[in-house]
Amino acid sequence: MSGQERNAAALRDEVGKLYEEARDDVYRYLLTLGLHPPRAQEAAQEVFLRLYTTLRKGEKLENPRAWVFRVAHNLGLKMRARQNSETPFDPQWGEQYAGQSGNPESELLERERMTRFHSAVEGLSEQQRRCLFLRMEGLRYPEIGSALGISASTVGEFLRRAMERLKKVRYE
Amino acid sequence: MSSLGMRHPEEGQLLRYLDGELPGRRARQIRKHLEACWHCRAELEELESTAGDCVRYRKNVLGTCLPPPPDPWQDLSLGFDRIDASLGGESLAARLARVISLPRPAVPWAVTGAIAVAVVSTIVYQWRETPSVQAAALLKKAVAVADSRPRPARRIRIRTASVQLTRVVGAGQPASDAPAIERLFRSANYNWDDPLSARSFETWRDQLPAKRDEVAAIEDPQSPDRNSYRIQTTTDASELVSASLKLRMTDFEPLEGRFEFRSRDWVEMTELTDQPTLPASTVAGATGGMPRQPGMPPDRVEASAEPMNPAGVAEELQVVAALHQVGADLGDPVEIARESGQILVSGTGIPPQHQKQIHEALDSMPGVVVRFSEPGGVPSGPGAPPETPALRDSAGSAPPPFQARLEERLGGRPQYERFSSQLLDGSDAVMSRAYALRRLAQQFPPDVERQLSAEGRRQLRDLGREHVAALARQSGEMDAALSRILAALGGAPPGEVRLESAAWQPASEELLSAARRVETVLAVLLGMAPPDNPADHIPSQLLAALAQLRASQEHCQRLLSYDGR
Repeated sequence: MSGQERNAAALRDEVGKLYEEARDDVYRYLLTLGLHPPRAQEAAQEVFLRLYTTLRKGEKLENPRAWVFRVAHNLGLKMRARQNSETPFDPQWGEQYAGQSGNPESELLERERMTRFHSAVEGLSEQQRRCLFLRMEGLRYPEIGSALGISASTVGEFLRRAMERLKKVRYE
Repeated sequence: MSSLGMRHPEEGQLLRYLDGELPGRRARQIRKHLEACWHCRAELEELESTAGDCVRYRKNVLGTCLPPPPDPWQDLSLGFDRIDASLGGESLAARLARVISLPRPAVPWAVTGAIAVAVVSTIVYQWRETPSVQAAALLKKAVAVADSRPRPARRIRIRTASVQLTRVVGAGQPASDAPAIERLFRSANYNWDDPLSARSFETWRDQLPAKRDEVAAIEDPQSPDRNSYRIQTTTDASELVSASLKLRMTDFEPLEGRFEFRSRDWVEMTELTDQPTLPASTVAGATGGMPRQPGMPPDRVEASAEPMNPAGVAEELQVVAALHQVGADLGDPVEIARESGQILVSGTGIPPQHQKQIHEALDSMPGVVVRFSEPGGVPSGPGAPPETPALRDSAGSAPPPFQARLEERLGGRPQYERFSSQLLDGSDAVMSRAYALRRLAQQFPPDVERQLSAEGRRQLRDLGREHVAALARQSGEMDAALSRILAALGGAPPGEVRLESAAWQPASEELLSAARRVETVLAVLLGMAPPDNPADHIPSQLLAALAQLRASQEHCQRLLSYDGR
């Protein structure tokens, strides 16, 4: 096996592992952008193929997971623009929500709390919500800024405003 | 400053602290403050609880309420094979060009720049290829550049033999603003949703069973940053019998397109560049000018599509200069936007003293509106029990690999603390100047700068030079403090640095990228971030990053000093 082939095999392994770990997260993120499920799944798979292409071309990525979300964000926006003849995907929130505790009373409380939390998330501005979702996926401020085309300090400001609104849910 | 004497952290600092996003010195100050301040500890605890809510929301709501993927996940092996085959089938020249291209930086605008630079290198080698290969390679690269950066809504002017209109693309609006033209494009299976783009052109071209390509390099001696490539594809196999696309050489941005149909209809498109690239939140409407009414289609009349008039650009420059005078371009989240013919300067969470300074600087300027808003305050909860919250310590529990060696070389712990604080302060200052310059470049890209008078251009470049000079002073001090000690720690001398931006605006992005790299590696050296690579490489990496920063700032300064007009 040549050095190039060994390199390709290692990259396949690396991208394959990340694909296993992160594809559902990327898919969900794309759904929150408004992509319909088939499109979101198609886009999620495409993103990992692009990651492989990029790495095969010898580019070094400091944080492949952050790169994946950045590319998914941009690709998702493009695909959403192309699906503009359709209604953006809008899931029926809450109906399938299942608590985790097994205690009906605490599940009910948690369900109510998460319903309020979801309403608060929906009340955020688009930029605040994007920053929040990407932060939830573990991206750092500069990485979020790279995905959204804004500075890290602006990301910090959007997140601060988002957290202020979400904190209020605890007092409702 | 003692921790007891330190005032409460400003809005947002606690969240940044919690997220490990503060420079080390500031993080240490806050950590000390938290040891003494119950109020801030309670605030921090609330933030942690809200972060916990977010985690549960992601897991229990997003994870269960969103539908699962409709199909089983594909095995990507086939896709990998296809990619390997396509890469293996490329011309030797293309692969050689790739080898000499620059490594990919970590941020999208820098990626764009790097890809553009790489493409320019590639062209040198591929020019000897056939026009079809040239066209395919150019389009492929232009698509890669476009995919690597955010694509805000933009306006294009569309002209036919009988009508002129302006259209917004990329804003998710239905593409029903010109049904007759839309029918032409749809009949040719050409993407009407985003017609002036490399991807749409490439998709149309790729589906043609027979075609002829021509590629030309067009130089504009008056304005080198408008040099472009023109790709023209003709075919008998489509209703669209000839299409051409002009791509700017520096960044592969589509500038113009011309489309000729079998029916003898023709359509020309030009991207309007009146809207500086601003974050979506700062743009009043999707068109970037007058806010569009909800439900109304994009502008259709030519009158509304005229480029930003020079007076508007000049006024905006005066606002930027005034904000600069009071230091409001160095970190405050102040945004500048155009709304209804006015310039709106807004900010949230700006300290009162800064608000006052900004008002004093701008209130006398006609057509400028200043609006500040305060974040919605949440009453603090009951006092938290005085137990130490679980703080994230960015230094982690393991001793940083270089700290002990640095302490030894510097003469002890206090000297090390002073050394690291000075470096972190220096890095902060460098970053704020680099951000300020990049922001200036985004507000006044080359085509907007050209609309300024000679005096306006001079003023703009003076602002830019001032940022670069301040950055150079700070980075010079860092260089002086670090060079010898990094060499003593085994750092290798940096290699040659290549910079090819032809205008100061893209160069400012390279400069920010270089500053960010210094900040990142410095944090690793000082034990505030985990190393990505073997720790032994850190001194060499930091020396290389400092050399890149030095070269970038000199390059930027040179470009800012040369107006070329």
